[in-house]
Amino acid sequence: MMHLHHEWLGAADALDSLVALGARLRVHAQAALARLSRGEAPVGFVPGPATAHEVVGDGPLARLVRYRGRGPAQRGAVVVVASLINRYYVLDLLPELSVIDKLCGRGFDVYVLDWNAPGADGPERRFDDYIDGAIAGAARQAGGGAPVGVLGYCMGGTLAAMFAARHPGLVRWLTLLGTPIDFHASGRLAEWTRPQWFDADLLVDAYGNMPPWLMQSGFKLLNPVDALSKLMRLHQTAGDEQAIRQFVALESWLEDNRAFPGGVYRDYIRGLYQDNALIRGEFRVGDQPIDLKRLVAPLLNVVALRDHICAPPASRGLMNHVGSDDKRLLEFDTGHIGLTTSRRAHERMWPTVISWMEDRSAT
Amino acid sequence: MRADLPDAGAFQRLFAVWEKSASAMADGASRNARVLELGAAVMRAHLLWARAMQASLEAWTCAYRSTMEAATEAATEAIDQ
Repeated sequence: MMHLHHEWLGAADALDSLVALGARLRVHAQAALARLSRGEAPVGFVPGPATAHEVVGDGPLARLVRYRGRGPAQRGAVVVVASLINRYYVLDLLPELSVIDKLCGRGFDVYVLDWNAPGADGPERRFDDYIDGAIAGAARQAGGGAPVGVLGYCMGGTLAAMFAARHPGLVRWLTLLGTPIDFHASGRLAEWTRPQWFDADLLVDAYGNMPPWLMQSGFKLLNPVDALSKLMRLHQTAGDEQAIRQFVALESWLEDNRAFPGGVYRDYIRGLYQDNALIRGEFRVGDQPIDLKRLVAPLLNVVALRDHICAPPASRGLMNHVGSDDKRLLEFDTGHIGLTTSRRAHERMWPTVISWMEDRSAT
Repeated sequence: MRADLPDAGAFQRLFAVWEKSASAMADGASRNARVLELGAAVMRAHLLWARAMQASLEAWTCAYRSTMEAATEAATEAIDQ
């Protein structure tokens, strides 16, 4: 294996951040033009996370961000694990579309892992650095020794499920959103990453870490018509200030990504997408295989029926493999990102999810 | 001032039809073995090129770095004497 370029990877991460800032400005400009063409004033700047928070930890892999719970009920701590490549604030996009704010409003103390860009160490990072290191550390800090609720989204859900199986004593309950577990059932991404088409080793040798632009171009190819459809919708909804703010917030978030740490990416593609080792109980983290039967915490598995990134069967597959007696599959008619950002999900799905969490939390 | 198209409703209907058929075509193409083979070949060529570029850059900076190190060492020695 070649390791040519580690010293450049920090510069690549800085460039990614600049590109994300540029994209945020471009999205604002597009929206402003659409509004002005309707004779309406542009919407204000949408900066990123919507709710007040504080940084309570800063490690090599992630910052730990705390959102304080409000109200009379004390429901305990929730640790949110987002995907390594996306910024967590899709769960705190706008005040009216913030999952995190909803949780705080019901008395949960929310701790979020805001993953750092991987930099020069990325090609050497492994799953255990994240699961036994960052996530376990966050759970211990958030719960002060007591078990915590864990909410995982997308690939963050895969990490959260592995964490719950490896550290059952630290988990009070586990909620997963659009989480791939049975990777061979995950649709076109599984097809595209078959060993005959895709060489993860060559990619990591070439780039060190998986760059966001390359990752995103793969996701965009899943629905190539979408770029034009979005512009059309932008024009159609330009008169609706709330819809445009949502467009700006979501599109800016979609362009704000981290590189995938090369070492984890190699294992993710080979072990999970190509070998489907997690569902077979053969995926090794550290020196131990992950046994999903050791995931015994109460489980709520939320599946988006129109998810094109994690096809529903890839999530449903988990239900028959966990050791939890208290487990529930909740299916909702939306897309992968709609789980956290659609108004319909916020109105109809999240009350059910939060009520499930409340029933299993301290009061 | 509104910049609506002359018959926005008809255009939107037409666009919806195009969107549906273009999505179906793209979906079909993304499952076609020949398209996948071509995509994989393009990706592989790109990665090989990227790796070669990295190697050249690394070799160039190595040479540059060792020249700089030698010059710094010589300068230090000269100052010491």
